[in-house]
Amino acid sequence: MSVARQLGRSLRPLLQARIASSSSEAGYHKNVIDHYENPRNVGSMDKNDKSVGTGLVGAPACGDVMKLQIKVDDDGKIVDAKFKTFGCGSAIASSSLATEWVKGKSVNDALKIKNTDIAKELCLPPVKLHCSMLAEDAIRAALANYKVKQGDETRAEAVN
Amino acid sequence: MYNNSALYAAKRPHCFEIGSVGLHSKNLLGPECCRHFTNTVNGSLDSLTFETMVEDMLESLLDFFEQLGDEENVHTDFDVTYSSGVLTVHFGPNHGTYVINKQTPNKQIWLSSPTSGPKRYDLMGNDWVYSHDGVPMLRLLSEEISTILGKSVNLYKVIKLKET
Repeated sequence: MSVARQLGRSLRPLLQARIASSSSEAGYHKNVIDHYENPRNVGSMDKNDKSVGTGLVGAPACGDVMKLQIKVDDDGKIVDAKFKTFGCGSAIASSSLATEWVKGKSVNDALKIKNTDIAKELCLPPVKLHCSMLAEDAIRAALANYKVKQGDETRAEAVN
Repeated sequence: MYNNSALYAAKRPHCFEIGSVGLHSKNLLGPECCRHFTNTVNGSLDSLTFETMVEDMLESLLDFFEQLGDEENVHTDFDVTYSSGVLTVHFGPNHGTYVINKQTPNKQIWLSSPTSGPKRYDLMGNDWVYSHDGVPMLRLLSEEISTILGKSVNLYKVIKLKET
């Protein structure tokens, strides 16, 4: 029995070291944790507001739904952005980062945001690259929705 | 084509996923609009056919990658694992990790490539194709693995597509 205890005592630091290193390999990157614990721009805007574009992407069955909204001023600059996401830490961080990045950009510049930039910034592992793609889709959907509303507005004015 | 899809999503908010068999409210515009999101083949793809086709493809890919590890000059860290519908292939620190997995709710295969990023593949006939650019998964993988190995690889010669 004392042999077993001695063996256990000498093996414990080895096991602890292995557990520590494997958890750091398998854990979320600190950039992702930061967005998860301190999410930026969580909330909603009035989707009926003509200056607001709403993007809704994903599907609950897949485990990821992102709603991203942008508010655009008369000069075509995104002055505010809000998001609400149902999903994993990487999905939340990707959409939170997306709202940070679109703010202050013109509508055309926001279209240039790529999922690869989001993934790089958050150091997303291979299996979570899909979250960054969804965030890019959410940005594009919000921009497209805004453009559609602006197009309708122009048509309505032309008719009147 | 991609921008048109995004526009469609904007007009029809009940259609969630762009380019997938997503959830949609049947009492709104109905099947006509959602056909633009649902894969026209997968609209009629039943779960059993999907399960059979996807497992067949993933197991074929598993066989291919395992053989690669045995026969080719790959990095010492080369590793292949397959469990619960997720195939992970690690090519070492220079080339990165591929994750290819079954995505049942969308009836898709999802790929994460260290070179070209994430893609989602729908079953079109008996092949898995990315709807945004029409490039089949096996073609993309053939090109990328050819680059990694420094020799020509054609997955269509190695993997026989199952008849539906």
